[in-house]
Amino acid sequence: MTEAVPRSVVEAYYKAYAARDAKAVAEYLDDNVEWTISGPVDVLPFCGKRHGKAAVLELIERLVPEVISVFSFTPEAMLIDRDRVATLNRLGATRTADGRVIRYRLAHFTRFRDGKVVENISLLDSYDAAEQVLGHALTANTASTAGDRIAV
Amino acid sequence: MAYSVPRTVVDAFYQAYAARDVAKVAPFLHRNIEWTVSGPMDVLPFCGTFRGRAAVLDLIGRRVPGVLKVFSFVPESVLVDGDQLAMLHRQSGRHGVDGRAISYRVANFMRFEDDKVIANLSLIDSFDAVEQVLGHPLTGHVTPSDTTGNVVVL
Repeated sequence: MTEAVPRSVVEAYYKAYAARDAKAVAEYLDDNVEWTISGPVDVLPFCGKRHGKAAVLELIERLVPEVISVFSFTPEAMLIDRDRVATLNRLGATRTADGRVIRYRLAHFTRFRDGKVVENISLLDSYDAAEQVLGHALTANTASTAGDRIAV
Repeated sequence: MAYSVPRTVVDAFYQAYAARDVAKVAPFLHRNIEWTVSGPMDVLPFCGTFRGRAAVLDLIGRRVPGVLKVFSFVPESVLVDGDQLAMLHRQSGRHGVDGRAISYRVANFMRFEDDKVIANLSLIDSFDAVEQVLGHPLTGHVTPSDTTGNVVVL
């Protein structure tokens, strides 16, 4: 039977994660953690799959800050069900290159074992995030207009 | 005492929803439901915010199949906590016009009231979904070396 993760552990982990405190986050990562962020890696280089604690910490400490500087990370929903956690979060950041403000929602589906994260899958509205990071509309070869997009 | 949605309700709803069975989904939708799918409405017309049971049933029964005829709905995570349900699943289907296979992950965050869904927010990997629906990579977005091989598909 899978061991339930205590809410106190989840809250402490997310507090560290929201603060982008890599040292504090490290305490909650399994050595063999699998971390996936869905999205186009050529536009959002922090997307992709990482394996192992060191790779995930490098993601938090270097790869994400090279693209965006996160200034807010607000959980809007947090569900805990046995060893699994799902969160819906609103991220606010500035683009590192020029300081432009970027905001998008993202979901995390995380699995814990022995109080540590062994798997994380992140999902975001990657079309919207890519447009914000690029600073212009994507060419979809349709009659697209900015007003036709919904960013939640 | 705070309301918690029973797992039996979640299981029955999920079975109906995964089967895209509008008649069976209907009893699980609150009449004041608000259902949002995040993404570019000009390319994916099933994105947007839909209010009321009829609008959500129209979404499931007509709008989504107009773009994507779903044939597979595989759950990867289903979490229930109090009145909330979170799901991560892979949705696969065929393009509504030319039958091309399309597959992407979807996250749903739902809230129940009186054993009915009253709010839903869906997040999809919309960049990947748009490229698959269009049938070609999004062009001119980054560098000349841009290739579809750089897109992570989960």
